[in-house]
Amino acid sequence: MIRTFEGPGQLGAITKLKPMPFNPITQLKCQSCGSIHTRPHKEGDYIFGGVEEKCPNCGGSKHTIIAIYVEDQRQPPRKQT
Amino acid sequence: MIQVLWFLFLISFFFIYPYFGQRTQLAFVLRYIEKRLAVLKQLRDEVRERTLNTIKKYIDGGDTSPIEKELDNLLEFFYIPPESMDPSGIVYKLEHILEIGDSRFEESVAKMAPKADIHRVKSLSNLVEVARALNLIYRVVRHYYLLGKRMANYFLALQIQIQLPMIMELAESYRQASYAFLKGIPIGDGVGVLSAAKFVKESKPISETEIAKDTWLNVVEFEGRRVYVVRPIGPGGTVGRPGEAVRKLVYEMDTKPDLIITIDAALKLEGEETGKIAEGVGVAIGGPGIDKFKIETLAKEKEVPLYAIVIYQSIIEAITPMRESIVKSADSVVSRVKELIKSKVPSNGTAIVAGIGNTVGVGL
Repeated sequence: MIRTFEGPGQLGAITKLKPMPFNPITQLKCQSCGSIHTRPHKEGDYIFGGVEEKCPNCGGSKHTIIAIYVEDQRQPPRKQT
Repeated sequence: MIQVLWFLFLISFFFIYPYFGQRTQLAFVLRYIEKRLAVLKQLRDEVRERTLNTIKKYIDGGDTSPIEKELDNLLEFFYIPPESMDPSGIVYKLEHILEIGDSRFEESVAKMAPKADIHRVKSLSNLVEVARALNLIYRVVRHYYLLGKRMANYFLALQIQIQLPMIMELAESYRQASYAFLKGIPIGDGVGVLSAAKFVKESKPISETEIAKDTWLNVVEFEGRRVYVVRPIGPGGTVGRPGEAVRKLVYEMDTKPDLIITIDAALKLEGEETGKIAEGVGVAIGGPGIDKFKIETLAKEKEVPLYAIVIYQSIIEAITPMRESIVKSADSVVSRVKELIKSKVPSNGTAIVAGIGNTVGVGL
């Protein structure tokens, strides 16, 4: 029987996983005025799905989700040698 | 005295170092693998726990131990590819085996999570697949680690050490993929589906129907051309059967397309920009090759030109939540599709557009 990393003091016990680094964003389009705004993603959101939320622009309540994404990770510019 | 020391050094260098040198290297390599194996085990356990906790949200209460047992069974699930000594008909044999596997997964997940709707069951099936993939990665790495240790074989251990940086990156991306399937967030691979859906929204609708399992057909009019748009049904996580859908369109519904366009995510080379779009010929469909084979076969028989549009991204970006640059590229893809149809399909002509990829988080 194979036994690895199960006992105390094993490496598995001391290695910690890093938390996952992204925050998904939902982009909404107001069906009344056509304005586009974003908010953090909520469970149940999907692209082309309809949601009822107050529009910050016109006060309308019906929105369509047009995109869900995480922001691109920007790489720091490399130093020229 | 110096001569004696020099003699002893030479003796040790020629007779002792070749043996102990490799032993020392083996110890370093095994230590390196051991550390990463511990991380892989944590990743596997974390995703298993996440899968189990998600499934538990969709049960009626009661004892959860049968669910854990069934989940562990699915994590050890395997596919045996068909025999290839006589390759005739192997594509359909493979299709049959994969269909059985998919049904088994979906049936088991639906049974474990009776309160989940059909879309949720598909995303949960994807989640279980991710957990299964991580379990397999862990088992394979552990196998080479233990084999190298037991045989005291430096080269056995070295084989896995060379590949471990890529394996660790893949495992971390599976971990992030589990988050996407858990929350129903679109993944990078879904950009082909998203582009096809955007094309439908910008065209004049004629009709729509489910043409094959998990696959939706929109018939639209675009600048006097009839366009059949095929894509998997969302927002649950599925890739549908685009090959079967195009086959039905051509053979059963007697459609005579002037052009077939496939849109899919493709792997970029290191250093390339994410979201870059490229156009080419052929069928842009990844996976085991069944859908690609079906479309290529009918296109050859009916002499239909095959065009492909791909959106470049890394393997990690393809299976993790969709990046902003990939979302933005979908609009450019729609423009390219429109240009292609206008230039290659005559007025009153017909085209088929297939959006390929996993449709998690992308609705109809």
